[in-house]
Amino acid sequence: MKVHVRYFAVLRDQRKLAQETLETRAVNPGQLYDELCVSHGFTLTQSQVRFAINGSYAEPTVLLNDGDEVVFLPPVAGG
Amino acid sequence: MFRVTESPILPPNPECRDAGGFVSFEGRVRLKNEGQPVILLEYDAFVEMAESEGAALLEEASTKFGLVWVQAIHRIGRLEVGDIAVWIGCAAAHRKEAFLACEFIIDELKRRLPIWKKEHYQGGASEWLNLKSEPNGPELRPSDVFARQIAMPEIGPAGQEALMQAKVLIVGAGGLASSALPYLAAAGVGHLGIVEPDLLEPSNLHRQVLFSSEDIGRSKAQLAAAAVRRIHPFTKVSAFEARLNADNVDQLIGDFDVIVDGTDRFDAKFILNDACQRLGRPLVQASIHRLEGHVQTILPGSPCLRCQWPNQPTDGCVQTCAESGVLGVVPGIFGVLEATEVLKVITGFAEPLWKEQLLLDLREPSMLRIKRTKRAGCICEAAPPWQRTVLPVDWEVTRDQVKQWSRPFICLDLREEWEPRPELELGQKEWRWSPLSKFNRDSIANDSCAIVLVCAHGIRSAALAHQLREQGCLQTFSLLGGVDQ
Repeated sequence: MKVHVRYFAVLRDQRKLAQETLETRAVNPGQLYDELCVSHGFTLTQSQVRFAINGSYAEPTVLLNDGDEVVFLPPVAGG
Repeated sequence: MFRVTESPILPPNPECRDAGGFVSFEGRVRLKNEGQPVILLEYDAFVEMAESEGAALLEEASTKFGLVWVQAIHRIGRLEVGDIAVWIGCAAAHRKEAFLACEFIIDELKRRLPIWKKEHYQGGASEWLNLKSEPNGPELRPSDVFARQIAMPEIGPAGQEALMQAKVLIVGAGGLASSALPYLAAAGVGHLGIVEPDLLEPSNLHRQVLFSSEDIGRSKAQLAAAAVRRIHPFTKVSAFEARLNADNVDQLIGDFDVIVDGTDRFDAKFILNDACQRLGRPLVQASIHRLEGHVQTILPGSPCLRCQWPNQPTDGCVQTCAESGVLGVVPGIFGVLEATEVLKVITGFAEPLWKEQLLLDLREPSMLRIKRTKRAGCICEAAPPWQRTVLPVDWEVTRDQVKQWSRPFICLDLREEWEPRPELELGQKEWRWSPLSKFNRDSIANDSCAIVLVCAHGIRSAALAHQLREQGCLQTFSLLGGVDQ
């Protein structure tokens, strides 16, 4: 399954990319995040990150579909 | 000794046996201002600050002129022509010092004290004026200062009035506040509160453009308040040199209509979220990271921060601005977006971001809107419903709206004798002529049905409708554009 992934804030810094399209076997955004954590060494755990699918906040266990846009939203506090 | 009072001023009689000269001054409500007949005058003050600034001024004058006795009283509330608005008395060993001190005090009092006056002219119009911004400076009028904003149909006179009545609290006087505050003040928000415990540091200057290098080491809350006061005199400003916590949050936000998050800590953001839900206040929120950030408005009962983050992030889980760095323009942009949200919340000219979060990455730049949803069992479910404290005006009605009314109403024609007075068929029960110069509120006191005020262009009728509604006549409307439209 192909999904489009967008990274924000500290995740964008750590991935050194704003977005990418990738092939995955993950069935939900939580699994997808865990997969990417291994390859890119993200410092935040899955429970510290929020997810959006196709423009809406979504739980980490919601099923992914081919072609979905997944956004990873780490906490941001600067002001 | 200086005081602000709502009661008529009774000039005190000084007891000063060692004074050879006593000079007193009475500032009175006069019949005309720049040719316009004044019927009533209203004074409003930020009393706490007026009293402390007034006391400091008298102390200063006392030392400067060697006074043996000095006192000043400023009246607030509604005054009529001839009433004493301000009284000043100075006694000194010799008359010259007493004269000079008296003049000095009235000039400085007008310049320094947060006191505003509203003149009600014959004919129903009224206007807030500041006391002179400089001893010999021109009087500023809101209608001049906000002319370009009032000209927008989205704002108009009603939106401006809503802004001037609004009370907005910003928590944190950092990068976000540096741009949000001056724009909110410039737009004419009536009262701004600033909460900030810290002193200005050199590392603040690259993004906190409200401050300057000569102010390092001084209170940021006070500096921000002073910067905002310089813009124009129509905004009251309160500085709270305090760190927001769970114990003081209710007291801090209680007096304000809209709250702005200008903090950089998760714990403060969640304390604000929870208190705003509990007390039913809209919270405009932004956070930034290096070259990006997000902004959103959280209305009571709408998806809140805890819906987004059921597990509250702990401070330290991601780097702060101090650790990861931030480009100065980034908080500037998000502060302006926060100010825009506040203006939407107050005037209702457009829907604020209350169901969405706007993410902005300034590198590409790219923008993303993410829908927020409520989480079952979240604290926001118990929030009291939010109502705009200052309702957008629904008392200006168009001809088409009125023609569709099924309820009976009277048209009250406010045009003067010398004006042509064509009537208009709007389906009214009665057309009654009552020139504004002779208008008497009692003449409509017994009418139980709605009243549509009409004049040539809808300006006098709008002013009178507003005034009557403030006095409780809620069934009063004004015909938009007037008869001549």
